[in-house]
Amino acid sequence: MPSATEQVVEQAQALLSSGQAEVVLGYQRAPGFVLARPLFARTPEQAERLMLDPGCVADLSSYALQLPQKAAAVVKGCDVRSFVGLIQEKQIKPEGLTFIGWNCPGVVSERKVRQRLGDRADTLTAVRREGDQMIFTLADGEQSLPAADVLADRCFICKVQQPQGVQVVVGEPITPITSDDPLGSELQRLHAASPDERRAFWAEHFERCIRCYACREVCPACCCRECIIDCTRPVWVPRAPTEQDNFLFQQIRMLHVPGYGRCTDCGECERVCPVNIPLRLLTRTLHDDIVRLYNYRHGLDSEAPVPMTVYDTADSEAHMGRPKK
Amino acid sequence: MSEAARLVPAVDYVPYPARLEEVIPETSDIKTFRLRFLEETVAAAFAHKPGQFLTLSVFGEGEAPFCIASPASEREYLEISVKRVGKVTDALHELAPGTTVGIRGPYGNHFALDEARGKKLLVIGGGIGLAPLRALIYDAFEHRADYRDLWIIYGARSPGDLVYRRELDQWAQRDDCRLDLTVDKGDEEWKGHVGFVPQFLAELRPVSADTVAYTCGPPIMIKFVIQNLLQLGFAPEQIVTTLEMKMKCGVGKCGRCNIGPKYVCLDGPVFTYAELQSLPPEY
Amino acid sequence: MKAYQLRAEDLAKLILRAAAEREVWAPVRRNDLTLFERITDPAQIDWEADNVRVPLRGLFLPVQEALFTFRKEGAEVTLAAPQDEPTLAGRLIIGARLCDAAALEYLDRAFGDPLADAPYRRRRERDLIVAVTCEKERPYCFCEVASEVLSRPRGADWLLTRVEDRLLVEVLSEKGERLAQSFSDLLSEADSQLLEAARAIRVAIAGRISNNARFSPEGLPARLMAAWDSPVWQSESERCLGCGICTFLCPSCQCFDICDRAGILGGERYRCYDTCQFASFTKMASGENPRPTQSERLRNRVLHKFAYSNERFGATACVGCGRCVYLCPVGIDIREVVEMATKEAVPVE
Repeated sequence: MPSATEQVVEQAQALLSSGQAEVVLGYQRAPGFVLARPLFARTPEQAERLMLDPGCVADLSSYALQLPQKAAAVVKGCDVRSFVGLIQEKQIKPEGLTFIGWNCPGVVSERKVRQRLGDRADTLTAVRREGDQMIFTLADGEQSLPAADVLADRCFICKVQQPQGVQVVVGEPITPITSDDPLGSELQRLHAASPDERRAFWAEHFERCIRCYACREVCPACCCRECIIDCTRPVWVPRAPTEQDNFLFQQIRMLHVPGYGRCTDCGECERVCPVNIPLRLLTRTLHDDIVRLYNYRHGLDSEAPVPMTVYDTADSEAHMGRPKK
Repeated sequence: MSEAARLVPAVDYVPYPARLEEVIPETSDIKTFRLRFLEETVAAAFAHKPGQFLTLSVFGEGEAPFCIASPASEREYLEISVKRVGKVTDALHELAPGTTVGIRGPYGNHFALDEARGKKLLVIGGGIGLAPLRALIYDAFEHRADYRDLWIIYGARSPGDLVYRRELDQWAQRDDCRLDLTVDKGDEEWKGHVGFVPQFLAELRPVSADTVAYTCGPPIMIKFVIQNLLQLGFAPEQIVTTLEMKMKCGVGKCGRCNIGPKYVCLDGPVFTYAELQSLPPEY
Repeated sequence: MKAYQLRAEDLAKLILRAAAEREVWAPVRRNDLTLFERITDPAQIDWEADNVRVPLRGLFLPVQEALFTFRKEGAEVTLAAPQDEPTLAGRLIIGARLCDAAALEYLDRAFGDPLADAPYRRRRERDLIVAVTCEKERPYCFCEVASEVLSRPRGADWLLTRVEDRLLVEVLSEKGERLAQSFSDLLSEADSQLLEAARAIRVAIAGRISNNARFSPEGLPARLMAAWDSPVWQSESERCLGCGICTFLCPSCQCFDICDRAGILGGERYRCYDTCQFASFTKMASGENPRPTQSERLRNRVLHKFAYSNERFGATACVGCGRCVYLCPVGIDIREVVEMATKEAVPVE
């Protein structure tokens, strides 16, 4: 049985040779990195470097708007939702775009891997899932860890291990490892806290923000040609990274992305933050509101309108203080 | 930190307050601003050379660099000519005389006029590019005997886009310089030459021997002026221009105005074409 | 410069004494992250972390600072200096790594001649830095190859190297010597055995690090300039997100923006980090941009670190700390980029 990696290379080479795709966007391994990194493969030789393993965390839809008409993208079930979300918003066209879907075994959290492996993680050359274990190939041999110890938080609540709406599927389906939402108790604690307590919690985090905008740049939904934060006429949010304005920047982003129902909880914003701000606590707060109020999840139906772009008299107004009719 | 390092003068980015004395409209989107330092000692110490720039603060909006258009000999005030293109220039255009603004400078290098002594000066400007050249022209008038010739070629998109109209009329009357004007597109009143500055230059066929050419204007104009000057036999060392770049600190610290290892605010904005040729092609 | 020794157990005593008369800043771990913070108790210090996340230069060129404030009354404006930083004796910053300290020595040049940056210089003159020799290296460390960081320790006032239960205290500056005098009861002259042992540690690490660079520093500036038109800039920047992580967290980056923040009655002018990786960095009001795509911007970053800085200041700006390598969300590795770009290019004589 060919591995997912062998299959993805084969698929990519076929797409490139036939001319069905000018570029195949996928993942490659590099020594010294725990996670795989993006690869734009334009020739069958370049496609040889494609691979798939639990280190393929990045959501490649960050690059959706820079792909040519005829392109292919290697996607996990969560990634394809981000692409579809952009199709819903007419930011990209589905024609010419081929999805190579991967039956994802769950991806790792780099932080958790480094916590458990320490400096040995630097020597990682491969990682694979076997049953309920993650096997890491390191310089001093293989190390097996319980998958539940190293999986990214969002994988425990994933409903799309088998990607939907893709033309090709690679990899064998594998039993997902599920659990209660790892974020659940922290979200509950925060939502039950007083406004002052919440403010103090976030002030401590946003004190560290340096406004590198990695969260915004990696977000699949953030694709405005000129972001309101960059606007100088007028200056809506001052540029300097003071705690208050850092928080204001993020509040605006939260309203514009999960607040409008455009967030798929890909978790990339939190993953890339260089100062470990727990952004998913914010995204999930608004994301979950959208699920609860409008029974809507972004990126599952390419024809579905995004909640804040349509008006339906049956919409709940309970959160505005008015009873549902 | 070494002793030598401590002796280097330091910039703290705090501007000197100045009063906006007069606002002179030049064109539909260009105004000349006359500025006077609030403090006499500062005015006395501020000694710029043609080609240098200052950064002007509109407090609350920001700071932007402008080349100094007034001659070095003018000690009572400074003049800058500003095109309305962005946030700071917008705000500046709305200011009334009497407002306090801020000035830092003089920054940058300058037109090395003393190296052109005994030579012919050829000044080629386009649009608002005449502003830094104006300081040079007045310097040349004041030391006219030092130069064999002073020939000014100036043009703009239309007659309404010519700056310093009143002075152009005065220069046209002078017998110690030659002035040739052109516009890309004329109007009913325009009796002068119609045509782009680079082409006009080529038609006029200035002699390259013993001549230094100073040019400033829109990038596309500079590009073709330089091309035509080379064709007329000018060596790259004989062609001088000033570069426009986004600048903030004006003193080579904020990092943004670099072309390769050179900073436009420190090593420029005045460059000879020979110097530009040695820089990476990134401007 | 002199060298002293300190018993390892006396370091806490030294820190406590220093904390009584000045601010002491050291690496502190919080939220899975180690950052320089002000400490009052040596127990707060995180000695385990390889390096602080936000580099040492963040204490000398902070992410944001007010340059001055202004008050408006009609057409009049009055300017005032910003809130003064503590005028106590300078901060004692302990726990800096040699890479970060070397970067500061580079910034002393870049923020010096021909005009110095006053806020940076004030802090540099006033504060004291105690660097510590690394006890191990990581695969992304290439300090020695980038900038001879270990063989030429610089940028700090003291360098501590631990050898079993003793610390070698190498004084690197006159300020450092004055500091040593003030702790003369805790310090004694270092013996040659300690000096040898400490040097051996640095040499060993430097030797292992020579495998981490992937590029040769030999004639690098000329080789990189010759690679101006290399396709590598485009291929390696294709996945770049255009965020500011590599540059904001670089110990030798210096770029900043200057902005006003004001209401009707007045406000302040501040400066904050900016980066050549943002599209708007060089974009003029007219819309022209000399570095319009990420390809030019990546080239500028790499050439600035390994070529322009050498030409202008006689020093490589990159100190091989590795932050841009392990923090880049999409795995752009500056060592790889340099290696690929210079592989084929041959400098023109």
